[in-house]
Amino acid sequence: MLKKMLFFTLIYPVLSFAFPMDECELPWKAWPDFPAIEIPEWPLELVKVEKVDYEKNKEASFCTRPTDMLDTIVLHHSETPPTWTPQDINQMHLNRSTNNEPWYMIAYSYVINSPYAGQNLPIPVVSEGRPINIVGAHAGGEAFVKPDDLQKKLWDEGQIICGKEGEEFKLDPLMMRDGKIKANITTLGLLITGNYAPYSIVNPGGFNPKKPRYPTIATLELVAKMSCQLQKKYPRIKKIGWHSQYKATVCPGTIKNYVSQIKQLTKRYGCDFK
Amino acid sequence: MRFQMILLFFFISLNTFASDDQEIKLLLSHYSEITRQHKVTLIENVFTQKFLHENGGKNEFEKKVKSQPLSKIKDSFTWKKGVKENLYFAQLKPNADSQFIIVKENGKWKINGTINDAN
Repeated sequence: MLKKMLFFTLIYPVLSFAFPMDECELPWKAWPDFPAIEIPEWPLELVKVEKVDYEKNKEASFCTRPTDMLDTIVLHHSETPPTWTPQDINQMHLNRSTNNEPWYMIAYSYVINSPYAGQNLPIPVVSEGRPINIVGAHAGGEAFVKPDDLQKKLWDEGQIICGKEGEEFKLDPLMMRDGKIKANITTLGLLITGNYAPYSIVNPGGFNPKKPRYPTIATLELVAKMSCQLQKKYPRIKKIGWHSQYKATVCPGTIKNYVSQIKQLTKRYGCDFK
Repeated sequence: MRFQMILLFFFISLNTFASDDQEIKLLLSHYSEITRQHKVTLIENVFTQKFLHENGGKNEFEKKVKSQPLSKIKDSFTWKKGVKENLYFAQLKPNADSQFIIVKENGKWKINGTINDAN
């Protein structure tokens, strides 16, 4: 015991100083080349999201945001037939303008094509919409929400900036009003194609009240998986809402009756939504 | 001469828009008559064949129209031209959420359905 203590306290430091490690001959010449192993991205992908090459209006301005601004997923229906593709929606939005300002591209961040309950087409698929770091145009231009501390800090730091492609991006003071921030900045739009609202003067393509349209279980699963996938990637996303919470609209029709079920389904994949 | 040509082109364009405006105004008043007063004979003049097909055909659409009570309400619409294509978007005033898509079918403006008013 005494010898060991003597070795480590006196002899070992002297020897280490005299013969540093890098001068010692190692039993191998270099770190061996191990074959590269493909490690799956964490979190694992719950839904395959199709990439879409969208046409954009380069004359239109848009705003960018840090993804930490996001806290809510807002569900929409397109009010079109469910067979409309993301490109069809994009073409319509490229034709839209607000106060004579054209739109940049599709207004939603994700599009789910899915059949009505009792039908087989279209085949369910999730597609990417406008990039998530670009502020959407879906909740309503007049919808404002109270920002939390981080959202306020990001705003104060001037991290939400607007402009046109190839031009300088600047802060747009109209994005904040009476201490509230535009809901489009803190939310992302998830569109389900189809018309899930009843027929009315403003919705001639709506369903006959005697034959309501509902989403399929597969659609709800897809929304839950996609929401969970987003929460795993952007952990500040804690809420699932719907369009009529932000403005007077029938959107997203009967889908809103299933939001609590969607939230329950997300728990299966280890997520938790308010 | 060039100036006269420009002027002529300008007046022709103005006239085209004015006639589009008149046609769309009439189309939307017919739409209102269908939905409010159940004038179902106007259905094929107002809606595209594509829209009717997507909604189960004319008869099915008629059933939807008649599922609503008759009304004497006078509707008022606003509309504007599409940014890149020859189409119009119309909206029921004061600020309903749906955008009516109005396209040309066989040379006539017709309603081809609605799209949710994202913004």
